[in-house]
Amino acid sequence: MLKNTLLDFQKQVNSNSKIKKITKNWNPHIIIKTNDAPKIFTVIVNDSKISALLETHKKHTHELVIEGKENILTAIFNGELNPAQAALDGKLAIFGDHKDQIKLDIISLVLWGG
Amino acid sequence: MDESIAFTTFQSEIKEKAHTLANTYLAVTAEEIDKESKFPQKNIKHIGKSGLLSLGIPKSKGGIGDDVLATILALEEFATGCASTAMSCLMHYSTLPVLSTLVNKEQEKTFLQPIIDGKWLGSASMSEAGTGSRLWHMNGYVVNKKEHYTIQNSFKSFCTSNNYNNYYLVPVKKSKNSKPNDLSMFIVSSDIKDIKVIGKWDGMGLRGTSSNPVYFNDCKVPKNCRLGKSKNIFPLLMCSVLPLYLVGLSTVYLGIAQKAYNAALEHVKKRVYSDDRKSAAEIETVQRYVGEMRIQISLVRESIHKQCKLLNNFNEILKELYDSDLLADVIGNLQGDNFFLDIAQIKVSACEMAINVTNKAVQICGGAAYVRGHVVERCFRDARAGSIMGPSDDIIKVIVGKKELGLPFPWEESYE
Ligand SMILES: Cc1cc2nc3c(=O)[nH]c(=O)nc-3n(C[C@H](O)[C@H](O)[C@H](O)COP(=O)(O)OP(=O)(O)OC[C@H]3O[C@@H](n4cnc5c(N)ncnc54)[C@H](O)[C@@H]3O)c2cc1C
Repeated sequence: MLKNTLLDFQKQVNSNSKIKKITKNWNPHIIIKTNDAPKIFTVIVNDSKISALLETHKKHTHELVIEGKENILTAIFNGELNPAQAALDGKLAIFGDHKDQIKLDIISLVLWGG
Repeated sequence: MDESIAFTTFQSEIKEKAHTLANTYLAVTAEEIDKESKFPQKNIKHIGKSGLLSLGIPKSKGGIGDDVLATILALEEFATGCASTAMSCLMHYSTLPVLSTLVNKEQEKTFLQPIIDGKWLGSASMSEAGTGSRLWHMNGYVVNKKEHYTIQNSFKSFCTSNNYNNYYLVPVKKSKNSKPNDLSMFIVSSDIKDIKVIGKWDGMGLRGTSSNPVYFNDCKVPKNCRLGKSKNIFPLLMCSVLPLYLVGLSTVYLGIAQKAYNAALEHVKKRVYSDDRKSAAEIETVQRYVGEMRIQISLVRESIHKQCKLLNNFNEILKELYDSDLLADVIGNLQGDNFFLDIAQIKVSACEMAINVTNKAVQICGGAAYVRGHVVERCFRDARAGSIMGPSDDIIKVIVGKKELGLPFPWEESYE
């Protein structure tokens, strides 16, 4: 469920010219961890696109870690749930630089309009 | 006052500063300001000196910071001191997101610096007589002349701080035939002779706000007073100014309710009946009223603070979008988004709460609070404006209802 959503998310991000503008010079690894199933993904953002989606934790000095239940993470990455609201409601734990969280919020806003 | 969440050091410092100002100056003159319908000029001066008039201007531009929760904490303190001062500050703060975002380097020096120095007070001049609380629809427009701009037909039915402000922030249609939300934004110095302030403010409450009408017609405005590109104005108004204004307005009414509550509590504890030698506080009905008031106040405060956290986050998003020149593209149609409707709903809850709480405060204080000059009587009158201030509670309810029912929003209907 989550993997397909992330693959779809990758496609949407990579084909969106506005997101390219926003993610210029932003090269983090986004680590997505489910806490109700043993799943972990690394979304590699590089050169204004998601260059790879790995089913493992690929370590990097610049990481943004997102942790939550699989259905919540799926809802975030298919646009049903706003990540900022989910974090505020305690449905999601986000670790990393605040600026990276903002980027993620913007991507969600550009793709799904809030 | 109880706090619903932990504050940052910055937020606590601002709150403390505002608390001291409110106790030292605002509360002391509130009665006189109400009685004489006098603009709280001295209070504004003190607030300016403290640096708090630049709340909302980011530190990167020389301001004290643009943390929305800090602004809100200051406003509640001001409102528990003097509602008129708080309302004038709110209308000033409502100008700052647009100004801070849109000014170019030269305008920064001319317009932002005096605000940062605590010397300038501004007014957000939005509501037009023609369209009232339908803030998405402007009739005033601008004509682009060679030497200057001319603002035409912009009749603002209420504008706080008239005659005492240094500038007006005025949105008008880009041209006579533009859509009502295709706007240009101007910072208009109050020194300009063509501005006509009409009459003298004599309101039922908020009597120190000097909120009478102002008319901009054949009003020549220098070229350097136009702010930003037109395509960004409506999105910024709806997504940056309006949310701040709505949580700010909610907070002013929260402060008014808190003040009435404090005064009512003090009154019922002191009011002792001679027959049974018991205070009014010992009457169960009074206790129930007090419980109700307290619950209503706390719930609104909690919602405001939660929304401010989201708003801080959202403002950072806006800044990134603006810097990437994507603001109009991305934000253009977000006004009906749940996030904004949640903020608008808080305005309704806060204004209804303030009317309700001040009414209950009158009830438990009895005849004493019906007499002109009692704090609770003043709060009762001050609280009444919230529900009619634009966007009125009724309009917000209709908009929320339309959203729930999947119907077009009013601003979508009016262009068809
Ligand atoms: C003390 C005070 C200070 C103010 N300061 C400022 C200021 O600084 N800047 C500024 O721009 N404005 C300011 N205002 C203006 C304020 O926002 C207006 O009062 C508001 O816009 C309402 O406009 P109106 O009085 O023309 O009411 P109207 O628009 O005539 O509305 C009257 C009532 O009709 C109902 N109504 C109207 N349209 C609808 C609709 N579509 N759906 C449902 N119900 C509807 C509502 O119940 C509303 O309350 C201030 C007002 C006050 C009282």
